[in-house]
Amino acid sequence: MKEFRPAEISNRHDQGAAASPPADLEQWLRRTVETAFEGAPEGLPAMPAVSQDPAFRACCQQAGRQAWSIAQLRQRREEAGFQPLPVLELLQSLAGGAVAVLDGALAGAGLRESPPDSPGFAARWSALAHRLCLGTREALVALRLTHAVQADPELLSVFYARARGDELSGWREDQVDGLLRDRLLRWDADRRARLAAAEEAFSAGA
Amino acid sequence: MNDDLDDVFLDDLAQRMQQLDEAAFEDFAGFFGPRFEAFFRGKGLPQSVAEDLALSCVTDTALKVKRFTSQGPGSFPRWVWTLVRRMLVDWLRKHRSGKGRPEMVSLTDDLVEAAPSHGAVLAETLAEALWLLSERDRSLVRMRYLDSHSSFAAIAAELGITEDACRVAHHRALRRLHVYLADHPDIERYFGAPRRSLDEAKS
Repeated sequence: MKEFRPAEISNRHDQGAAASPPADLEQWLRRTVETAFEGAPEGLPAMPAVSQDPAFRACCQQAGRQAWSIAQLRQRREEAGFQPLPVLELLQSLAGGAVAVLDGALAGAGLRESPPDSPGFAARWSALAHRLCLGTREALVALRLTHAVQADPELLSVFYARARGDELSGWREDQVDGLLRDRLLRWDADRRARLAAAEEAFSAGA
Repeated sequence: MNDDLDDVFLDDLAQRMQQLDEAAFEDFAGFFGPRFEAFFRGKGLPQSVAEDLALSCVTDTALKVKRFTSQGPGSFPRWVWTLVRRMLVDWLRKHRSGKGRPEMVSLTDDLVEAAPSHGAVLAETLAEALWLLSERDRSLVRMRYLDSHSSFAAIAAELGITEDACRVAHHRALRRLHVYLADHPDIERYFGAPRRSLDEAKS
């Protein structure tokens, strides 16, 4: 096998580039192919046939629609700013009534596959939050609120009262987190352990 | 979606995706998803893993499209394949400690730790470019340059088309490969950039 010398090939190619287009293209590709196979490990380039399986192609289309849904939610999040809401309510709010967008994002993330206070849900939320470009603290607040609302369904109205009429959208993550910590202290050990397991799964999925 | 695409399709696709055109996301997934899957199978991943990883790459790559800045014709598929190669390396790193996956550990070593020779780099790049062609055009290019160096008459007979149609398809396939490869950094590194003939090829 000949020793490879980039400079020499470059010069040869420069001469070839002045030729008429069709001949030049063919020569250029032939040289590319020949050089590609000089010193290439056996078997390269591996080129299995592109899948024609209709089921897989349908999955691809679905993945494309899910990506579009997430891109829509991400854009709306950029416009809306931080909203102190549990995970599913947050996604509903961002979707703004667009059922297809919400369904696409939920299906893509697999959030319907586990109960909202489970570690599996937390891990999937972590991945979706990353794709939505949410900050870690913001995503964690949504997860904690998800658990907190399960423990105390009236929590959000309590939050509103504490905010003395402020719009929830005007709140900051640290304010919500501070209020949540107060509530957490009143939870039983089992519920606190469930939140800890979820947060661990969230961190592992991040 | 028709695999036999216009040369401008992929660059236009990026722009449509950046505008959050839903159909563009589906076109992207329909075009690249099966090619990603073939790429991963070509790297030795089992089919089920290749499919899962391909779908994940479709979503992740589509969601990064806002960061793409066009560098001219062919730059979008090059950008996509760069991301996908990185995703493969990340995936392999994550799974290399898994039990019962010695072939993947070896593959990771090949990809990550062993600096590939120029031949491997160019072959990889060429393979990526070939995956942008339709099945028929890829077969044509393979028969003409890679496998048997066949005549147009022989290729036409094999593909069941006329010799004239074979020559036209061949020229179009070369132009597409050229658009993809001409400014590719791996190709430039070894050949220099044939910009003049790229312009001619586009005209």
